[in-house]
Amino acid sequence: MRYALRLLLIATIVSAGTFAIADDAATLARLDELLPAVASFEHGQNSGPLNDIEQIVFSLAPDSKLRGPVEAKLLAALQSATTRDGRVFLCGQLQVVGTASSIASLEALLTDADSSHAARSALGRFEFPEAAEALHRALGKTSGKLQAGILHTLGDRRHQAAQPDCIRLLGSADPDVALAAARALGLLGGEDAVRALREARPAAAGPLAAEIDNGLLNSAAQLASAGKADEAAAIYESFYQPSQPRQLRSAGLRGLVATRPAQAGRLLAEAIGQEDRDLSRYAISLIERASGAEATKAFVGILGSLPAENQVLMLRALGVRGDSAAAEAVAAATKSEDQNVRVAALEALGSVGDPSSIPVLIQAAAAGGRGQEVARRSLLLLPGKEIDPQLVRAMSEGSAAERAEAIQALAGRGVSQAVGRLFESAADPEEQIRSAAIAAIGVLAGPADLDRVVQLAAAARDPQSRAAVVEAAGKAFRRFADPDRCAGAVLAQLERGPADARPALVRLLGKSTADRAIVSLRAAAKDADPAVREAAAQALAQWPDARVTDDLLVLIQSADRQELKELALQGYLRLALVSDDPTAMYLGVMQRVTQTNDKKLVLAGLGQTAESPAALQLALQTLNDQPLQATAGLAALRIANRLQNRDESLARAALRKVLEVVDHDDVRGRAREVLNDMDKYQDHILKWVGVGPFTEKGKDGAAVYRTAFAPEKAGVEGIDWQPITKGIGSWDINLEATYGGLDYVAAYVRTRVWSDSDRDALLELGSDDGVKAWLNGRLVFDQWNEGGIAPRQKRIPVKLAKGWNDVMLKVVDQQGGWAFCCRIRQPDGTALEGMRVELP
Amino acid sequence: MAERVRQTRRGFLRAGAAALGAPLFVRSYAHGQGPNDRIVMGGIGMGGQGRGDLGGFLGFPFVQVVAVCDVVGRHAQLAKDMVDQRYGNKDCRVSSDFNEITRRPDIDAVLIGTPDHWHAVISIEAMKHGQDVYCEKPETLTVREGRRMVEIARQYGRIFSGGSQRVWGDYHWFHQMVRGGAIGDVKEAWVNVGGPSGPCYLPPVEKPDDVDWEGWLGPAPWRPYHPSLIAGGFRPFRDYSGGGMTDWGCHTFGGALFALGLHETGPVEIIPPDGKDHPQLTVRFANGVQIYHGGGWDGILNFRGTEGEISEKGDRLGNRRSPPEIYIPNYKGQGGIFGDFLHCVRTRELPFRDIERAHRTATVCHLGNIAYWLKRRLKWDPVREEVVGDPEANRWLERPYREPWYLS
Repeated sequence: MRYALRLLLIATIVSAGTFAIADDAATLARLDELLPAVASFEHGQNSGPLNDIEQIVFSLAPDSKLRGPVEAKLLAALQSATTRDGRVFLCGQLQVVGTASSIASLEALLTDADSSHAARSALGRFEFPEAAEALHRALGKTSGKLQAGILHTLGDRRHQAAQPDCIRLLGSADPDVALAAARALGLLGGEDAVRALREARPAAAGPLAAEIDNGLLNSAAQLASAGKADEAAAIYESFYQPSQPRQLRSAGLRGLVATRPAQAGRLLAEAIGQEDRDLSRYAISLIERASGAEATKAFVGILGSLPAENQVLMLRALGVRGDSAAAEAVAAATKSEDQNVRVAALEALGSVGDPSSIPVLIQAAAAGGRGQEVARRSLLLLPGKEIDPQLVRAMSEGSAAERAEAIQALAGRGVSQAVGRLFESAADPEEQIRSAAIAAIGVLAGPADLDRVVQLAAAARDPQSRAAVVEAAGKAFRRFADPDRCAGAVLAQLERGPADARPALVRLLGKSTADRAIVSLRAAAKDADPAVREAAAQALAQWPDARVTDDLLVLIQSADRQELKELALQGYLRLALVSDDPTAMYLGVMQRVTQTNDKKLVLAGLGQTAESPAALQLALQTLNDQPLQATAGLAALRIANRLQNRDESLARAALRKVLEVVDHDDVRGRAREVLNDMDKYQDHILKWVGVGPFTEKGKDGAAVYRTAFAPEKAGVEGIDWQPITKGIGSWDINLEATYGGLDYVAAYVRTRVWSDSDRDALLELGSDDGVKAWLNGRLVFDQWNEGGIAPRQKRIPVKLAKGWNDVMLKVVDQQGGWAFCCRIRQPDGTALEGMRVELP
Repeated sequence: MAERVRQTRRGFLRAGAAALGAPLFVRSYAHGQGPNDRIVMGGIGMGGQGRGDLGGFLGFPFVQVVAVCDVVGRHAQLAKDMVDQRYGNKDCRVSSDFNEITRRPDIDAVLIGTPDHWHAVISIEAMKHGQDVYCEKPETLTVREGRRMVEIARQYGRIFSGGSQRVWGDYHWFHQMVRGGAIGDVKEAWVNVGGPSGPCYLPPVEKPDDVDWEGWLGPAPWRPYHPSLIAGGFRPFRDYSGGGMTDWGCHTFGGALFALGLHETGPVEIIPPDGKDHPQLTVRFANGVQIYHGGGWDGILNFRGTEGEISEKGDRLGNRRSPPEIYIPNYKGQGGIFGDFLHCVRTRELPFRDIERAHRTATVCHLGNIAYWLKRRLKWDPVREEVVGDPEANRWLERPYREPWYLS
C-alpha cells in the first residue's frame, strides 16, 4: 500500500479505535503470539507480525500500565533473536518505549558490528544518564567505526565524563576515531577540550583538520554563551586571518562581532571594504548585529566608496538595521546615478527615514517607474509620530500626482485624523486627487462620518466618480457594521437629494444590507425613472443573501428590459449556489424564464448542485425541448449520479431515459459511464481454478511480476490447477484465503467464458497489487502497478471468439492485501447478455 | 588577489583534495571579477529530481557545472551527459563520493538532490568547506538536523536555499489574499498532502554492479539492497523520509505557514486525529491559528477567514478574484527559486527558502509524523524546540547516524 494511503489508514485506525487497548491481557497475549516471528525475521519475510507489534508498542500511552510488561517481553525476545533484522527491529521498539531496564541488554549489543548502530540508536536517545554511561563503558570495548559511532553519540549527549577518553582518542591512528573524538570535544567544550584541539591542529590534515576547526568554533560559541568573551574572541581571532579559507574567516568575523561589540562597527567596515567579495558581502549581512551610533557612522562613512552593487546591499542592510542616524546618507543615495542604488535607498528610507524623507519619497512615488512601488511602500513604513501630520500637510503641497500620493499614503497608514481634509479633497478639481480622496474615505471614514459619506455619493457628478463613491462607501458601510443606520442615512438623502443623484443613492442603499433597504429597493425597481430602476436591479442582483430571492424572481419575470431580467437571473443563480435548498430555487425560477439561454443557465445550475427527485424530474421533463436537450441531459445525469445512493432505481431510470432521448454523443457517453459505474459490482466472475504461490528468493513484487513461472510458459504441462473455494466475495477473490498472507508473491487463476459469436468485448479487472492477463493464450494486459483493489481499475478491449474462451490472470502481491476481480462487458461497458462461465 | 590564490591552494592541499585529481582552481565567484562572473557548481544526487534541478541550473549562462556525483552509476552518467551536452565538451567529472565535490575549493555551490536522509550530512559538509547549498526538499529528516543546518549556515556565512519552488511559485495568490486581509482574520488552514512514513521490510535483492549501496544508505540503518529505493521509492519509509507528510508537506505546510506569517516560528501543540473533536491532525499555534492535515473542501490548500474562505479555485463559488495589491518580499534576482539562490550566492543575502524557514516548515511536518506515530498530543516549545513533558516523544527529534557518519 502506498504512503499516500497511509493517512487515510491512520485516520481510520484512530477513529475506529482499533488499537485502543481495551483488554490488557489480550494485548499481551497478542504480543506473545507475534513476537516469535521476530526471532528469525529477515527482510522479505512476512512483515505482518512486525507491523502489528509496532502498532501495539507505538500506541502505548506514557502512563500505560502495560509498558513494563511490554518492555519485558521485547527484552526477552531480544535475548532469543537469532537474526540481525530481528534484533534491529526489537532495538527500534525499545527505542520508543524502553526504560533504564533496557540499558543492559542494549549495551551488550554495542560491540556487535551488526547490531551496534541499532542499540546505539536507542541508547543515544534515552533520556537516562545511565544510557550515556553504558555508551561510555562500550568505548573501551570497541574500535574502528563502532568506536567512532559511540564517540559521536557521546558527543551528541554532551557526556562530559568522556572528555579524557576523547582527548586520548584524538590521537588515534584510525581516522574515523580521531575525527569523531575531535567532533565530540568540540561539542563537550571547555578549556581542556580547546587545548587538546589546538595542540592537535598543526599535525592534522584533510577532514580531521576541518573537524578540529569546527570543534574549536563550537567551543568558542560555548565560551561566549558562558560569558567568557575574551577566551572566545581569541579563538575567533585565530580564524579571522587572511590565511584562512573564506568560510573560516567568515566564522571568525561573525564571532568577533558578537564577542567584541565595541569594535564591531570598525571590524565590519574594514571587512566591507575588502577586495574579497564573498567576505565583503558577508560582512554587510552582519551589520545589523553591530548596534550604536559609532557603528552607524562607520557604515555610512564607507557607503559612497563602495561599488554600486555593494551600495545596494549596504543600503538594504542599513534598512534592516533601522538606525535613523543613517537617514541623511540614505537620502543622499536616492540621488545616485545608479538606478539600483536609488531604488535601494528609497526602500531603506522606509525604516531609517524621518519627516525629511517624505518629500523625497512622495516625489519618487509620483514619478512612476521602478522606484514608485518601493517609495509607496516606504511611505507606509516610515516610523515616528511626526510622519502623519507631515503627510497631511503634504496633501496640499506639490503637483496633483504628489498630493494624490500623500493621500494614498495616509489611507495606507490608517490616519483617520485626515478624514476631514479628505472630504475637501474629494471635491478637488483635479480628478487624480478626487479619486485618491474618495478611495481613502472608504478606508478611513468612521461611523461619525456617515452622513458626509452619503452626501458625497449624492454630490458625485460624473458616472466614474459615482461608481467610485458607491464602492468606497460600501466599504465604509461594512466597517461601520450598523446596516440600519446606514440605510437610514441613504434614505434620508434620497428624500432630499437631487433627482440625478438617485441612481447612485439607490445603488448605495444596496450596500447597507438593511431590511428596510430591501423595501425601498423593491419600490425603486418600479420607479418611473429607468436609471433608478436599473440601479435597483443592480443592487438587488448584488445583494449578499437570500432575503431578496422573491424580489429577484419578480424582476426576472417582469422587468421591463431584457438586460435587467438577465441581471436579476445572474444574482438569483448566485444565491441558489449557496442556498440550503437549491432545488427549490431552481424549480421556482424555471417557470419564470422564457429565453432559451436563461433556461440553459438554470439547468446548468441545477445540474451543478441539485440532488432531489424533483430536480431530476424537471431536467427530464425538459429533455424533449430540442434546444435545451443537451443541457438538460447533462443536468439529469449529474443529478442522477448524486442521487444513486438514495434512490438507485430512480437514478437508473433517469439515466436510461437520457440514453433513450438525447442524441448528443458526449452526453450519452457520460450517462452510460455513470450507469456502468453504478453496475461496477455486478457480473464479476467468481468461478476460478488457481495455482500458487510463486516467489523468487530476493525478488520483490515487481520482479515476481516480470518473472515467467510455469503457467505462463508455453508447452508446460502437469500444472496442478485447483478450484478456488475460499475468499470468494460478492465481486472479488481474496487470494490470501487460499495461499496465505504472503508478500512478494504471485498466483495464477483461470476460467473460461462462453460467447455466442465472435465479438468485441471489454475485460474489466481490479487487483491488489499487479495483474497480468491472457485471453485464449494471448497476453492482453501487462503493466505492473501497486495499490489496493477496486472494480474496473483496468478496462482492456479484447476480442472474444465464438465458443469457449480461456481467461488466465497472474495476480502479484507486493505487500499487504492480495486480491483480484474480473468481469467481461460489451465494448461500451454495458452488460454482455448470454455470457456463461464455467471452470476449465 | 595573488595572496588569496596561494592561500586557497594551500588550504586545498591541506584538505587532501589534490589526491582526487581535481583541478587546482580557485572559486571563480569569490573574487567577483572571475571570467563572466560565473558560479561554479557541482551536483550531488542525480536521480530524477536531481537531474531536473540540474537542468534548471544549466539554463543560467553564468553557471558552470563541473562535477556530478551519484551512488548509482547510470544516474551519474546521465547527469554528466546533460552537462557535457550543455557545454559541448566532455569535461564534467563524475564520482560516487560526494566528498569529491564538497572538498573541491573551486566549486562555489552544490545542488543536492539525494534522498532525504542524506540532506543534512552533505549540506553541512559542503558549507563547512565554504560552499553554498541548494538542497531539495524535504531539507531535513529530523528536527535536530534542521537546527544544526541553520547554525552551520550562519556560522560559516553560507547561503542555503531549500528546494520548494511551490511556496511562492504556486501559492503566492494565497499569500496575497491572506496577508492582504481579503478574507479577514484567518485562523484556520487545511493542508492536503500524504501521510507519514513507516517501517521498511522490502526483500533483499541482488545488487547491480553500478550501485554503491553502502553509499546510498550512508547514515541510515543498514538493510539489504532493493531497487525501488534507488528509483525514488524511498519515501514511504521512515529510515529515509517522513513520507508524504514531509514530501509535499514541505511545499504546502510551507505555503500555509508563509501565508499566515508563521514561517519563522513553530506550533505549540500538535494533536493527532481522534475521531471525535479532532477529525484531522491539528497543528495549533500560540496566536490561536490552527492548520489541519487533511480535510478542507477543495484542493491542496484551503484558508478560512472571518470574511471568507479560499481554495485554489477561489471562494466557495469558484470565483478567484484578484488579490489585494500588497508587496510581499519573495524571490530576488531572475529565474524563480534557482535564480533567487544564485542571486544570493552573489550578494550573500538570505534566499526566499532560507534554511531557517525550511527548518521551521519541516519541523511542523516532523512533529505531525511523531504525533501520528505515537498517537498522542504533543506540546511543543517553539523556542527551545523540544516537546514539553514527554521525553519519549523527544527521542524522535534526532537519530544517531550509522557509523562513521555524523553532523559537524
